[in-house]
Amino acid sequence: MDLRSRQIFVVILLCVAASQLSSTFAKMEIIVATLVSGVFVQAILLFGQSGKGWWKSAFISCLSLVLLLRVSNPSYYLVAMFLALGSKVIFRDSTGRHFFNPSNFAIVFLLIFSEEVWLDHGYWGRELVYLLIPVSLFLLVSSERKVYQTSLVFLAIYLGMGFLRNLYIGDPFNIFIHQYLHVSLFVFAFFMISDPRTTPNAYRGKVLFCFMVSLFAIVWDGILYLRNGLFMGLFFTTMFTPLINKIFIGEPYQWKEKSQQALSVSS
Amino acid sequence: MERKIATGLIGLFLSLNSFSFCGFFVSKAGTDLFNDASKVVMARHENKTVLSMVNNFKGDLKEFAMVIPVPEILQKGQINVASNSLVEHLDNYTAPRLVEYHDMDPCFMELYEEEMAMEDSISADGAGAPRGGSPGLGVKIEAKYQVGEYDILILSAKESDGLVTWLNQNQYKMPKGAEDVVASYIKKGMKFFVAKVNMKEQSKLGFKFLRPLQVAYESNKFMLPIRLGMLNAKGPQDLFIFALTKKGRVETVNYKTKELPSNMEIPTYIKKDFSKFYTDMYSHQVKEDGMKSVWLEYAWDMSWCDPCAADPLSKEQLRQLGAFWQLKEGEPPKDEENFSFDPNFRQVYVTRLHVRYDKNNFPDDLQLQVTANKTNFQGRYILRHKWTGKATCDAGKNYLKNLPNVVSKEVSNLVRLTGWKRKDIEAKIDFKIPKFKESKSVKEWWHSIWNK
Repeated sequence: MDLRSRQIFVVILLCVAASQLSSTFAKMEIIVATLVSGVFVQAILLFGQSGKGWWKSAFISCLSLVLLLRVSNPSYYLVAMFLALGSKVIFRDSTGRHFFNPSNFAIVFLLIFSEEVWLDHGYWGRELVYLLIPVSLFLLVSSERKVYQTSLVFLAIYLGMGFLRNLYIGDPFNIFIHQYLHVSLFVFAFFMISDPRTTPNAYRGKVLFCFMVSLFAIVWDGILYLRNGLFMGLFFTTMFTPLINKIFIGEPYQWKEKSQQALSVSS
Repeated sequence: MERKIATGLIGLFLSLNSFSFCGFFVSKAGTDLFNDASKVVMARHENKTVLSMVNNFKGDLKEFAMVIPVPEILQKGQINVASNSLVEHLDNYTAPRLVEYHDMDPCFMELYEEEMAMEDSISADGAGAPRGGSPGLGVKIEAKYQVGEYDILILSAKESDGLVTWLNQNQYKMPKGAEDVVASYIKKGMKFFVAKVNMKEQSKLGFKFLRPLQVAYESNKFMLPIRLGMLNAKGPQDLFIFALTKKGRVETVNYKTKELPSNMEIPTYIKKDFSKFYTDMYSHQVKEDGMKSVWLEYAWDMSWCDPCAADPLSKEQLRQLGAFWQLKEGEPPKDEENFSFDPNFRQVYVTRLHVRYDKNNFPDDLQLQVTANKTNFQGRYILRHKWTGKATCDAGKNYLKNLPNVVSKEVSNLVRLTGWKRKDIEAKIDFKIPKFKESKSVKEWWHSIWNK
């Protein structure tokens, strides 16, 4: 199975798990409708430029939306789908590559501008052993350094900052563990911020990027006492990605797959 | 005389937006269902919260004292004393309910429904006078009020040792470990709301039980502090949160929220002892879960209910409980709002959460969020009284033939819900399942064509 297909398989597994654990998970009909419309919209956006496997990127974005976002009205999944796929077309840097993580863009846009959507962080439960789930699923997809590098750097920086903050507050260590080590964070680390095509190219750029996301998240959650700091942090930091890529020059990531052409167009 | 902060059964410490206060959840039969359960109403809209804390203090009123962290220095108008009956009404309205059906002769096909619901009652008792602040200890009395039967102080502190010392000096005996938890709240910029009973006012007002205290404030923080209340707890504690919102369901962010198993048919003998069923069921579910989750017992738009376990709350009652966005009777809506002239229409959605917690499984305060989820959920358990007459048609015969399976399924449901032993349940079945005998003359398929 190629990389993109493995990604699809893994996100489907996560969706299956979430559907059992979260009572607000979307029904099958909604998921299918979202996927079908997503692929359809993708086809229109790629008019004339599609190669083999062109539909996979839209498929993954839509599945991620369904996995993470909760809505009061199923139409919002379609709105999210448009936002996600649209962001890839509209927001491009000087090299013509999209720099917003599509699912992240759609989710944050809706969180800011709509009252009818929310994120459910608690449904995985707090057992530390569940952290193995996102980690092992991630490894199933890819063990390429350029892909896991961002995840690990991010986790190190975010947990480091969180630990320092906890030290300042004076809470016991088990509270730090409880607040920071949860499956939602690991899903974010290994399935969202891990996207090598929407994070800076150079290693130092990645470090700066992760630092900014972590700082934003900790201020947002811990000082402003708002919610969903990680997603917000990624969204706002992404606006600096083109600038970061100009300061720290690095090789843009290419999906290593058989049909290179398809991927450079579709992702 | 030392005023003990947390007396007897309940930890009376509150932090931030909410705290674990005790309340009693009692069944119609008059027995305490959940001893020492705290009850809290949290009305939340945008970043404004109104928190009502049921006071379940049992003991000498002079010894009562309450300490809650609050996010800002409260003005007198932000503090109120509510009535216990108001919270009790909300409690009854959202309580898990038992519904009863009577199976009629299947050859006539009529059903009617009777409803019963669990009720609770709250009892509370409660006693103090403040002295000056101590700049040396870093404690400043920001405000001093007398509201209802309570004397209230709003304190700010620079460091936890100073605050705890001050409280101890003023005869509030703080439990061990309070400094660390208090320090955490001070670092987060919280002030401390301290309440005692003003004995003169209390006797003047003449209320038998201490009434719930309410505070209203603005803050991004939407959470229920439970850490202080666990300090001197002797084992797991129960807490009920009644969340009133405009948008929809409230759920915990940092713990799992699970729906109580509901809408299941159970043996009819439970009618006599719904209370025991409910407490055992809850305990069993908590045990199976490892005491890791917060349980959802009711989530519904307050414009309607089905079945209703109590009378609907009036608009004024909801406003008194803290739902400040609820339009008053006769008040016209602003534009763009969903509105209906139906007198039952309310702009309030209620979520009832029930959590059994201890220090190990719930180390951190409950972080809450309001979602746009307006779907309905209720704890509802179904009794079907069986029809045991003579079958006069095929439907009747099938019904009787199937009866043992139906009863068996009900018993299985009960086992799954409560963890009771199957033998014990079967022994308590309160009616005789008629033995169904298949008539010897088996009708052939062609029998009914011409032979009537």
